[in-house]
Amino acid sequence: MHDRNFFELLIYKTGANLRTEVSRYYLNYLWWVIEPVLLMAVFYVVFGVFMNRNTEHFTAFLLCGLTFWNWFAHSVNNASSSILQGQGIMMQVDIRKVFFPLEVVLQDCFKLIFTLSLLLVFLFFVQIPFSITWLALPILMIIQLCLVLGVAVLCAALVPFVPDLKFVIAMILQLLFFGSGVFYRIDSVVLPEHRFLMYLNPMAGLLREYRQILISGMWPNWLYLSYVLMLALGVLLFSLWLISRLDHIYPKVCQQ
Amino acid sequence: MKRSPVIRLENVGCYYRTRQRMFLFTTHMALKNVSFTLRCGEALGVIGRNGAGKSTLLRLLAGILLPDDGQVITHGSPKISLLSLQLGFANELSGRDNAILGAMLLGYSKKEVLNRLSQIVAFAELEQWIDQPLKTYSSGMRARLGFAVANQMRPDVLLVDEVLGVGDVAFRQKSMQAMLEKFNTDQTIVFVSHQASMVKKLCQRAVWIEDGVSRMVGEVNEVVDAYEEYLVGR
Repeated sequence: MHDRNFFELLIYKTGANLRTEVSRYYLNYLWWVIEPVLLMAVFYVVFGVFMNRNTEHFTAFLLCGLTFWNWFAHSVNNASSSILQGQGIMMQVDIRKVFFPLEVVLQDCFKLIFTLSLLLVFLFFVQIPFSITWLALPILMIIQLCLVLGVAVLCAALVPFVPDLKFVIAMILQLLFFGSGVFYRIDSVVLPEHRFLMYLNPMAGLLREYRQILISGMWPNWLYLSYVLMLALGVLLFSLWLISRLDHIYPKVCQQ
Repeated sequence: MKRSPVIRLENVGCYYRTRQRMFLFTTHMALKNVSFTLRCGEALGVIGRNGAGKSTLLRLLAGILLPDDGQVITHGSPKISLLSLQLGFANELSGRDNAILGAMLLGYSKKEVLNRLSQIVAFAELEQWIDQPLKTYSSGMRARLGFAVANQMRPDVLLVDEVLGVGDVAFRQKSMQAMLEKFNTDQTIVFVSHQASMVKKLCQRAVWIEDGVSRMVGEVNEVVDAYEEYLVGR
């Protein structure tokens, strides 16, 4: 398949998947907005009202962390079984297997548009006035996209060989959720000598930088971001190489 | 006239590992030693009993699987495709979306597909239904749409696994006719079947696969007769 046809198919298939996903429900497309709103409401009630820690702008802090964390976690989790699920298609046509994780990541990126708009609207109207540092948002998101793609493709490439990894990945994501400071500030909760370890997790650092630019109105730590970008690109290149090396192994492995 | 070879298989073997339980694997040799040459413009029949490795052979030819032993040599990088019915069909999507997706999966660009769409719909006789979700289709209608999409394929080498006619009686004749037309042109075809009579009727040469080994390759009547004799003798 030519590159152009490959990407055309990728985009059309992603659109079709999105339509399939909502066609089952009465409220249809509205769920793309309702679901994140409800999720935000739950977290607001639990952490913003019940367990209010008196952190300034706590709700904004929380929603900001949650939005970008969910982007990462959903994409990686959904992508991890994507190649196994593409078995029907890959047994009939010779298609590049990277198609399947890319499809999933693209789908989640589309849904992010809604969550992100809601977050920005919330930040704009409810708590913090617009600050010039918001302009750094696309850069942070591109870095996170590289990270998401790299980890998602890597997980997708490995899971067909050992399907049990799917549970391990879900567990690690759970652990990282608690370790990324989604609902607490690492710099005020974790012991100073442990903070370095926490920030070895690129998601923890990225969430801090997002809050830095969106809530605190400060420019991000560019040096740290460049490390994250290099790591993300490294993982991405490695996983793309791996998945193309194993391309013709998958049809066999998926039948085991 | 000796036609030029398109694909040559030399002592090809293909194994599957099957997991029995926990960490226990068994190796299943789907193909052990298959050799033959496919020539340009011919229809080659592949006969053999169930489980002889015919479907695996087609997947090897289509480039979906790679051989574990021996080699598959192609001449002049031809486009080789498996005739796949209802490829990637999803129940919740409309017939139109399914047709577009199916044809794109077969390697067409979106523009080419949209140009052919009316042809596909007309062939499937689904004009009134095409915007309904696939889940409302009867199995016959699904089969018709699946065939109409697959019928658009124009690869250099077409791989056909058993199917010739699908759907109800009237459509079965129509789809059969469309397939027979392909056999009558210059289309290079590999046709897998366990119906020896069909192979005899449609193909010029044949390969007989028995338990993963190519037992005999040659003129269709000789191979099919030997195969039938073998079946009776067992």
